[in-house]
Amino acid sequence: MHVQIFLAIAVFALVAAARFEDQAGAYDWYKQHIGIVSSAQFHPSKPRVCVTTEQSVVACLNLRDGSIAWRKPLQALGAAPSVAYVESLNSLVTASGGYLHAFDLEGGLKWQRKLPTQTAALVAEVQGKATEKVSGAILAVQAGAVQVLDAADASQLSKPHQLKGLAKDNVVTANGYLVAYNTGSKSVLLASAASFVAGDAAAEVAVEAPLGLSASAAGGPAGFAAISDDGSSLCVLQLGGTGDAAFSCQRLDALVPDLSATSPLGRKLIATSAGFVLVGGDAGAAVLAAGDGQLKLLRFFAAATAASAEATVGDDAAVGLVEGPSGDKLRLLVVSVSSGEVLQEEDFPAAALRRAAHGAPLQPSLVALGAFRKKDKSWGVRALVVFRCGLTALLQQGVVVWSRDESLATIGQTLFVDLPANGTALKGDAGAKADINTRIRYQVLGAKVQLKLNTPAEAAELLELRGLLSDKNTPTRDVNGFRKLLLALTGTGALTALHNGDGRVLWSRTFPPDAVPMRLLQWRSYHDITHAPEVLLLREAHPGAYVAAINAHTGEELWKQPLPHGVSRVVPVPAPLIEGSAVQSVYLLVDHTPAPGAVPVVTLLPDTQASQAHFASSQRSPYLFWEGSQPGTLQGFSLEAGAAGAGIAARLAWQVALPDSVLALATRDPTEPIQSSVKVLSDRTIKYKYLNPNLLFVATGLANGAALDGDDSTAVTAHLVDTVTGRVLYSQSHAGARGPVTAVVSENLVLYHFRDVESGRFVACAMELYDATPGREFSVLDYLFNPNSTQPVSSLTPTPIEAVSQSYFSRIVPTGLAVTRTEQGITAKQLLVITNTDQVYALDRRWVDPRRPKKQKLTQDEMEEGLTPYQDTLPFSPLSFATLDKQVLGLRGVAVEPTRLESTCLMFVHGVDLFYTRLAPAKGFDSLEDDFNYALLIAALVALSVGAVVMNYMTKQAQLAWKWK
Amino acid sequence: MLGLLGLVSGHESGVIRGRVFVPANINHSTTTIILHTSTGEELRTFVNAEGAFAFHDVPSGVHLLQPFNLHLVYPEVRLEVNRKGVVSRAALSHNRNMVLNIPLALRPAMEAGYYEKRKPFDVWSFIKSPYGLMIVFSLFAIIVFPRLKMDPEDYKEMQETMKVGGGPGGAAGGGAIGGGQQAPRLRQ
Repeated sequence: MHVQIFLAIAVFALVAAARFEDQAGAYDWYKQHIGIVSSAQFHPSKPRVCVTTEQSVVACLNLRDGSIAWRKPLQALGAAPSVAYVESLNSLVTASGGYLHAFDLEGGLKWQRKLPTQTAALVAEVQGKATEKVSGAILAVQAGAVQVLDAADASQLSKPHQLKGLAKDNVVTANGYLVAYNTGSKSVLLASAASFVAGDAAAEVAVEAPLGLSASAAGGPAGFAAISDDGSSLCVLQLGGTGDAAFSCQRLDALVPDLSATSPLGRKLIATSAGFVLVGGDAGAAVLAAGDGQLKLLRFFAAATAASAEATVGDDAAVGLVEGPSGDKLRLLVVSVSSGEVLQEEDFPAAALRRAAHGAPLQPSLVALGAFRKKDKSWGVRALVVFRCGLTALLQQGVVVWSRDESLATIGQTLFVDLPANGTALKGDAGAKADINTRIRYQVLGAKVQLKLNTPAEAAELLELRGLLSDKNTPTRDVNGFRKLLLALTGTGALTALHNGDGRVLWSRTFPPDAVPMRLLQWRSYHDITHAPEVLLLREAHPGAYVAAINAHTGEELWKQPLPHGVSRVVPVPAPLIEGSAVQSVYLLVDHTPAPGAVPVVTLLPDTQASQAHFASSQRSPYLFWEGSQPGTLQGFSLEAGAAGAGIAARLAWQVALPDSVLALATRDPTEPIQSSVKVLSDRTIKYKYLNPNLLFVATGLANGAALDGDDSTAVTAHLVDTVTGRVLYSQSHAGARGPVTAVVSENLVLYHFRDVESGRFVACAMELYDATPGREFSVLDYLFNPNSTQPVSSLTPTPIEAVSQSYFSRIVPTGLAVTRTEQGITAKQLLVITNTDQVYALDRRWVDPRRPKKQKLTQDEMEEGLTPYQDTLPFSPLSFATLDKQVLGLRGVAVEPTRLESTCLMFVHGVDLFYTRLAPAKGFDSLEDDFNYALLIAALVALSVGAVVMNYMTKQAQLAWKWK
Repeated sequence: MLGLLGLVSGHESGVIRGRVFVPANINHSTTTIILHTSTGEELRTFVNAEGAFAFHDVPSGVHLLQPFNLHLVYPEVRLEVNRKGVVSRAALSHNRNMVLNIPLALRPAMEAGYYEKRKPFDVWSFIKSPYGLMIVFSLFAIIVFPRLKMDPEDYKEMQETMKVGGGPGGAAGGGAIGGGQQAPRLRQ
């Protein structure tokens, strides 16, 4: 009960821009993804396929339409988990991010255990002889430590083992053994898995391979096989037989003559019950049978590009091979592993897949084969095919049942750009025009919904019509700047342009794996509407680093230029260069290795005479700073322009050693629009905002993950550092606090979160900074007529700072902070708090105003300033979630873009899922809402006119009658 | 109830067990239990089909347990784990007098309403809306204003009767008085 009361108090109904349920989807869209599939397993009884992905998601997809039946994010996003399917218990056991998880196939977690370290781990079911009682036992191997657990309840079946020899690059399970070796090494360690279960002192055997082994290896009932380091041979180790285990290596040009001609890169081995399948990148697959310690080629499929793991089709053990896509066909072959015969063969149309991949090359990277009974009792097969571009498709009975483009789950960087002014560049994309009847129907339904006279079916129809009639999906720019092109750079190496109206892909451009760009930057925009804006792609890793300019409307590459060195960071020069009608962005490319005494190499991009002059003449030159090679140190560099092509000279200007480790850094966005540099209080006094552009916020404290000392004497200290001089301008300390710290600097506000150790709760601290120079005078007349009356501020003669700060407990646990941004910066700002539950909470700035008075009754003056009474906890209202009732799984970034309407900005949130919405931090004060109901207005006007006419007539009649009296 | 669930943890070291309750119309698909440990780490787990969860290898110290379900709001729980690894005290983080039983039984405080509710159709709120005000004002203009207007012939007639009657307020005769006198005549 107390909880309800507490929450009722905490939930303020004062929410700026909450939506009605019937408005859901009107300004927002949401796309659920799972990521790039790294393993797949068909559900034994339901029409589902359960997958794990490179984005550390475990999910089951519906086989009929590809929809997500359930999904769970694992701890560490960003690495494919090791997974074992335990058939006897119908559970998936995964190892990822230092944890073991066991899921049932309905999405319930059976158990979870911590692994000793965070590093990658292998999990496998113990495959023993039928006589041994090892059913349901799983092995978890991590850095030489082996745990044997019961898959049913995670109880330890034997004591954990430490085998230093197992701490190697590659650990493979093969026929009841663990095989461990380092890539390129000849020495291989064998350990019997069954002996771990039995709790015996592990019998480890070291075997010497004739050749160094590569990472391409597989283990199965036929033993262990690996491709040699030089790619020339295939080495096999038969296990489980009598006698000593010994490698035998066979030259590939003798074993599979057709394969040896191709590049050894990308070769993959798959173990089957009878031998192995060797897939040679995109150059064929060989089905090999093992016998007498030697491999024998059963059959070579020259056109095969990928192979599945073994599956049982009827009475046969078979693998699925994918051929193509060549022409308009993608062929699936079901090949017996024991004989190499083709058991089934099906063709699938590739055109649909090509369309779904938006032109990206289709190279299968993973195939999973499943068998099912057809209606005529014969066996049919289905295959889940994952392409390198992220497309995941289910093939069955000659049709592509469904496909999902998962490349968008890997978005790393995004950029909003303007759409073309007239539809020429993206023509043919416009939606169907609706007739007048539909429009009338839409208005009538809208009126009904607004008056709550609708049925649920009518509400659904309204939503459908709204999508149909809205012009938000037109691929041209609009007056208000609501329609934009959203460029996204994905981890699969594609630059994709989405329409922000509904998230559909307008164009996509894929880069080869060795030229995948890592950064997406603004490059050149034009004031005249005939030119398309240009964006810059940058690949940082050297060798192979390059920059390339891309036409943002078509995806066409305009030029490409290799870089002589790698790039460790990109610093934009605050003011862009104006060249005629073009606005050219200028960047500093920094190549820096974190070593003591290392001086960064800085080049200007574009490196022209004009840009050098622009850089030299810019009002304030940017300063570089970063954490030094020693923990807790910050370094700052001053920069000096040279001649074109000579680069920029960087010089170490300052170095600061802070007492603790650095927990967070934050700077103000230098391009943030600020409407007013003063704040007028209710008593008409003026406070001057402290708006130093070289301000750096640094939070220091006990490193995350470090244990507390007994005396709990930890503290988080906030420092304000000037990046020109390295001077610490101000600092304040919070005793009994520790990280993680998240921080954002906007205008003269610094907001940061930390954790209070004693209560365990998270605390938000707001700090407003004012210039406390005595005797500053400012009048409105100066503001209007004398722009030079402002006082220059120099980092070299720092002004005193007045910091007003206040702390609040926060129910929201942040992992990141952002801030809304509008065209002129007049609209009140909202702080966008990225929560640890993958949502975005829009916090009004007034809630973190440090001047909130500590009393319930406010004076007239305080009310005029819009202050609210202080409370120790920040308000928490689900209505304030900018992501509405959606969870953006694996949330990685928030992009905010102003529109031409001052009230409104656009927000795109990306992680594994995508979410886009329009935000109005202070409500839409400058426009009618899009769904403003004209029907109701017209109905009211018509009713009034009719009433007026009728009344006029009636009055005349009455007067006439009266006069006759 | 909890005893029946078989969740009695006894004194397992470093183990936190509990169960999350949801109303019948909401499922556990988004339920996540997040434990912020005193070492600044964030541990996560999910629940099984019954809503039960367990954290293992929890260090000693003061931790914050954050239960999450997308459609529900749960209070945060402050947990004290002693040096033996046993939960010595569990209380609501915002009110430490509210002590919870171990194993934890986490019940939602409220449903998370992400959308504003449209109020059901209500005559008074309709009248207060811009449409309603417009209609009311126009009706006023249509119905009441014509009645305030006076026929010129009537006006002359009335002035004459006033002269004849020599009423005390006659000199001040204007629209307002005229209107006032109109009303009784209309009732005739």
